[in-house]
Amino acid sequence: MEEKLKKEVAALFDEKKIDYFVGYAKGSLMHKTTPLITKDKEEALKTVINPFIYNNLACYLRELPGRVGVVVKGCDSRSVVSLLQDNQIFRENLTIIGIPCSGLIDLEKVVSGIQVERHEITSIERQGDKVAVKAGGKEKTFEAEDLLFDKCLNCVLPVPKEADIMIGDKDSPPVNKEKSYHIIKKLKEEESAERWNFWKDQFKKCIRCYACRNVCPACSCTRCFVEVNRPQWVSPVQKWQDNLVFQMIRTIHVAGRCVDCGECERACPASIPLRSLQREMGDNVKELFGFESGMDKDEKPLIASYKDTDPNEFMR
Amino acid sequence: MKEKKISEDKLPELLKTLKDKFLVLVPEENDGVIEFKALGDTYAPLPGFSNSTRPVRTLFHLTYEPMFQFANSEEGFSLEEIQPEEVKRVIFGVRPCDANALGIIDNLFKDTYEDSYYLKRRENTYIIGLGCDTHDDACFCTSLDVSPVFSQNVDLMFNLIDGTFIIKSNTEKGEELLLSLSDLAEAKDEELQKLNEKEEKIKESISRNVNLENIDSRMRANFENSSFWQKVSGKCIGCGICTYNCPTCHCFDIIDEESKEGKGARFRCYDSCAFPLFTKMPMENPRHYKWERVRQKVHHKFEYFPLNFGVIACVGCGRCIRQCPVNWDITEVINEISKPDNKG
Repeated sequence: MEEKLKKEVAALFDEKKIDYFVGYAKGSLMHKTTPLITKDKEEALKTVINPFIYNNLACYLRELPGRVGVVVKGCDSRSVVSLLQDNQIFRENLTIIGIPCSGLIDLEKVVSGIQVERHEITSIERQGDKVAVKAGGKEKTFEAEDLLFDKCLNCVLPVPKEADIMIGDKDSPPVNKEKSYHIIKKLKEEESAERWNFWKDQFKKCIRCYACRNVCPACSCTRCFVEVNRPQWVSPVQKWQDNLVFQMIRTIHVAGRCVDCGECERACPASIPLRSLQREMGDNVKELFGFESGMDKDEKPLIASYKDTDPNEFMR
Repeated sequence: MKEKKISEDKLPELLKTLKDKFLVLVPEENDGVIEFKALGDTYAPLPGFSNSTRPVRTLFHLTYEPMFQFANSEEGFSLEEIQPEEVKRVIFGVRPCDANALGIIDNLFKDTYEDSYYLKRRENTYIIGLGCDTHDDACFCTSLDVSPVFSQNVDLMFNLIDGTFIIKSNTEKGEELLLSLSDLAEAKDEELQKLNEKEEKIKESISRNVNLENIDSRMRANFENSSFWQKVSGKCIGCGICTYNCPTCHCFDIIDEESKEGKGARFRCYDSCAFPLFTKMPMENPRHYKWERVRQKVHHKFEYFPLNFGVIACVGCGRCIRQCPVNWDITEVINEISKPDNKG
């Protein structure tokens, strides 16, 4: 797959079809990858594909000038489509390179599964439904669904729909809705007071680094409401109340744009289970408006469309 | 004072003794986040390599703190200063990198303006360091001349050698603390020898390296190289993880919060040069583009801070690499800054 990608990328540069390539390169830490943004063909050929290509590269598209060739997994392609719907980027400037995805491996799950620290793990290999992990003398095989990110186990679009070039064949992660929803399910079963206490404690950990917002392609405002200070909407003082208000407003702002790529949760240095909020919001949007984010670029964005069937109880 | 020792299994007891006189903080893991928390019934050491998610400086320079409160009513305007509570604390388990970082930012907090909030906490806190037995692939303390087993900025240093903690006292405060503990045996020379061997072994195995040769002139020569900074900042998403969780970053904002009734307080809270809003309140953010903000962060640590205080504001703790959502790597960037020609 990687070789095919490199060939396609080289051709795109040779045929002068792109100014920038946005993909993934090997990271500087064991098993990690890093976004690769380059104008240089030779550098672009360092691109990799593996089960650790976490970043949703759609988050860079708004800031790059010229014509861009971008590598997308299914979820990322939905972010690209969502940005197209919002007229944030233009289709003619994009060459979308799709990667059918069989799910991303969550390194934290690997570490807690094998009880060896990340940098000491020598190899993590996906073999169909299994993942073989080697560390020092230890060797252990896991069911893939035990090591994939929660979000992958209920993936709506494993194969990118809006793509100009496809690398590889059909692929998809195992489906396990129960595992994918385990935190959301637990929270929903709780009394509201318990749930309130849970989120209160979570947002006490928040340091307001805004990594959740900055990795998020759906957060496409030029100036975020937290940066508006005349009048001040949310205090920058990192008290849990303001932290929570920030995240609540962000959640509502990305309704109809969030594609459940899970990047907010992965980026969070305080390990706040942010995806539960976003996924629940996405499910509400689907239930109420029959809208799934980023599926069709010719569809109007949720916020800009009206259907007779939209719920309108609030107007009575 | 000669190094003392205590058996590993006696440590919880020792910390318990300290609890009678001090607020004892120890690292604790919850939900994937390691934080210094008040010692509970017993101390449970964390396995393997571990350092707190946030650096220990966040216990001195708090994320936010009230400086004074005010009230505006019919009777007039009143102001009341708020000083931090004077609690005697012992922080156990501080890694040498983070302890070194305190020494670095002490320079700033006791400069022309003496910061009473930070300095009072420093004065009232005993730092007990815990030497590293291992490291991960983000660590690069050795490049910054930080020892993985000792720091000049601890009061006491603990190092585990074959089931025994070797305790080195480093300050008068440390000695005072040691004397308050029931008689500890003296460490033997061969144990100290083993500690030296441990230090050498860890130092050798840390392979991440940052090239600091002629760093000041290299930085200066490269400052105007905007295409370099645009390139290396390309993948940075401009979040605040690497600054908020850096042991030497210290930027803050000042915010007034007022209720409808006219009561309120002035807070000091963290701010980051990575944010577009940074310094916008007093004047303007002179760094309009992401690449300028990235450059600022690197230059502040490796050029401006050394110019002001004679020391690089980095200790190689690796948090900015380890926690970065895009694996942006400051060591790669520093190493790419071209070497100057030898004209100085």
